[in-house]
Amino acid sequence: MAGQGVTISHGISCPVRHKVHFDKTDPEKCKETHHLFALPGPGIGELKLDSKSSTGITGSDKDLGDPLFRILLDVTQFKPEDILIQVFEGWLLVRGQHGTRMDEHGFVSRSFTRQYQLPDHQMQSGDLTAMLSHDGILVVETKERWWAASD
Amino acid sequence: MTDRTVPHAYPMSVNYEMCTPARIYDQNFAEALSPQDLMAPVLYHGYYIRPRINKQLERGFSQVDSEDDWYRVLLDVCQFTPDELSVRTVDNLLEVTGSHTQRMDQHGFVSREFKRTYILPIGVDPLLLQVSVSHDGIMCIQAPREVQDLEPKINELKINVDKKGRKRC
Repeated sequence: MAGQGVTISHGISCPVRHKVHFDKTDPEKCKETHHLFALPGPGIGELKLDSKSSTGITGSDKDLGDPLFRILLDVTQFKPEDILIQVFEGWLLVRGQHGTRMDEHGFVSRSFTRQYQLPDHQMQSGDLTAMLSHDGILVVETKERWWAASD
Repeated sequence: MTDRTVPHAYPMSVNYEMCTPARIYDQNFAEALSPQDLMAPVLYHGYYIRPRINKQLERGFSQVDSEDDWYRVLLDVCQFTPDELSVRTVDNLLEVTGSHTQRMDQHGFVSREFKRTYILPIGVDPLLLQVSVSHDGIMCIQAPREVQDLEPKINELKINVDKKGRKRC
C-alpha cells in the first residue's frame, strides 16, 4: 500500500475491498461538507461567532461564510433520483417528478419545476453544489463564499 | 424506482382498510424555504430533523372519512385554484388532478402538477359524488354510502346417520 496513495481509515477499519476505491482518490475530495447538515436557523450569526472565538475552527476557511447564493426547497416527497437540477442562461431550474406511488390513501404522482434567477449570468453548474438532507430539504448553493478572502 | 409502486397490500382487503390513518400530511410539495423557516433540530426516532414552519400549520393534509352511510374526502389543495383542478372517477377510483403553469412566488417561479387517486369503498356510487372547494383551499368530495344489509347466508347441513354400522373411509 505504501506509495500508492492515501488510505483512508475510519474508526472501524474498513475492509480491503473498500480501501481499494480510496487508493487513487484525493481524501480532500471524499470529505463531506458537514456545514450543510447544520443549516442555519434563526440566530446563526451569534453561533458562528461563538464557535470561532471559543474553539477556533482549524478547518479550511473555505467552509466559513455565507454562499453568494443559496436556495432551500422542501422536497420531502421526492427521492434524490427524482430531482434534476439544471443551470441555463443565468437561471437555475430544479425539476422533481415521481411516478405513481402508493401511500396510505391511494396512489399519487407529483411533478414540479422551480426556477430561480442566479446572481451571475455566467454561472455554470460547476459553480454550484447541491445536497439533499435526510429530512427532505434540498440545498443548492454556490461554492464561492463571501468571507473566503476576509479570513 | 419500481419497487415503491408495488402495493404492500391489496387495496380492498380488510388489512388495508383497518391500517389506514384517516389523515395524512405532507401533501403540499415543492415549497421554497428560507433559513428562518427552519427551527432548532429535534430528535425524532433517533434522527435529527428540523421542524419547519410550513409543517406546523396543519396544512397539506389528505383526510378520508368513511362511515356506514357517507363517504367524504378532504384534500388540501391550497397551492391550486379551483379552475386548475379536475376530479373524475374511473370505475371505483376517484382521481383528483391539479396542475398550474408557471407562477411567481416570493422565491422564484414554480409550476406544479399532481394526481391523486382514492379508492372508493363498496356502496359509494361514483355518480353521486359532490365536490366543493372552500375559500381556504380545502377540497371536499362527498357521497352517500349505501348501507348494505349483509345478512349471512346460513345453510344448515343435515347429518346422515348410518344405522347399519358400516365403516366408510
